[in-house]
Amino acid sequence: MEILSAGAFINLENQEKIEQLKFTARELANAAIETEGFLNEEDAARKLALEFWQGLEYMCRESERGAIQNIFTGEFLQRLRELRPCATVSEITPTDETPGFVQETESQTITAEDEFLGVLAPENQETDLIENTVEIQEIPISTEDFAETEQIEEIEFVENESDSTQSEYVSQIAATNSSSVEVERNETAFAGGLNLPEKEPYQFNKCTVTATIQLLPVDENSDLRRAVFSVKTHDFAPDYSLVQLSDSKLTASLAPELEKVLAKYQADLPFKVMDKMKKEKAAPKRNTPKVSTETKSVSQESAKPKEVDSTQNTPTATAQTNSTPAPQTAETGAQGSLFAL
Amino acid sequence: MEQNNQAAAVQTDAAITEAKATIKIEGQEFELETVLAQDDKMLKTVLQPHFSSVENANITREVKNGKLIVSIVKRAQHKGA
Repeated sequence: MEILSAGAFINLENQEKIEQLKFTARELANAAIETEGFLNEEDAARKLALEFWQGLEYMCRESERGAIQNIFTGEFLQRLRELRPCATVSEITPTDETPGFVQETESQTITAEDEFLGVLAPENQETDLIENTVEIQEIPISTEDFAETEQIEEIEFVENESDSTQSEYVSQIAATNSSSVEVERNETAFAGGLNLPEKEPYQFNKCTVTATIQLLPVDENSDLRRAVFSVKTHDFAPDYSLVQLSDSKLTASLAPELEKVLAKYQADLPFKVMDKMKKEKAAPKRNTPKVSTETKSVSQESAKPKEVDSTQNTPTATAQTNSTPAPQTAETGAQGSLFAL
Repeated sequence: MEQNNQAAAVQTDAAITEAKATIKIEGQEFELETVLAQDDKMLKTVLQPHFSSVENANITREVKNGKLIVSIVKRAQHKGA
């Protein structure tokens, strides 16, 4: 196996190149171990792996860069783990007699097989991503208390039994999901509450009420400021009220006045609605007699001599007005003849 | 326009005894403090939030039985206005 030279092109399809890359990573790990002053710790190893990767400047497709980098760093770290004096969690499987993996606090326990905790099985360690959001820190085993731990920064566990940790974690996820869902529901409910119906009821609490506040200029040598409150809903006329407020405590004095105005409008709204209903009921009654009044007015106007003159000039008007009175003389003659007959 | 102002000025010379004036606009009638209804600028400022047409409208005033009655009629605009 040859060491892959710097700047070489690597693609995932070329298995030979991948193997060379792995070999290179392992060789570099071996060389790092042999150097004096090198601390074989996880954090330092990760940094060194990244430095090696950047220094080697391998060429690869943008879509494959992450995967290839992970292969390199994973192999590098794996080799360093193997060379550590203490075994790692991935190499140990807990038995039933063992109390499980004890972390710094005794109440926090996890198992090595728990996939939810981010602990990977040995065969999955190649795919251990550096950019993974769950950071795994391996702690060397001490023979006294068999304390092999993997510490997860983002997750806290409360259960002592290893079997229940997974379910607890799942329940935590469910809880967080449900809480996020609740938040979303609240947001949607709030957003849904903003939908206005096409026809709002004539009830103060169930219709849109528009209230405006106009602060008029302060009079000279006066601490009082006049304000005009106007409240309106539907197509009703607005209710105006003029109030005086102390300019020094303007915002404080606005609230009670606004409350008064709104309360008054709320009390008056049913009367406004009743008036409107009465007007609407009365409206068709007015329309019917209007026709008769119009006809009367037309006949009255036509009876006037001036109007008759003007209507005679215009053919359309004469057609309307002359239908009854104008040919009266001729008709009366005919009628007279009929009656005479 | 001038005629309207003159007419309003003449009619408002009569003594106003009522504290509230009647405003007639867009087919609606409502009460408003006389102080706010006496001046055109003040009236337009006050009515503007609810009646945008008041900006370019003919305002006429008359006093009936000591009460100020303000009639506001929307002025005809050019097409597209």
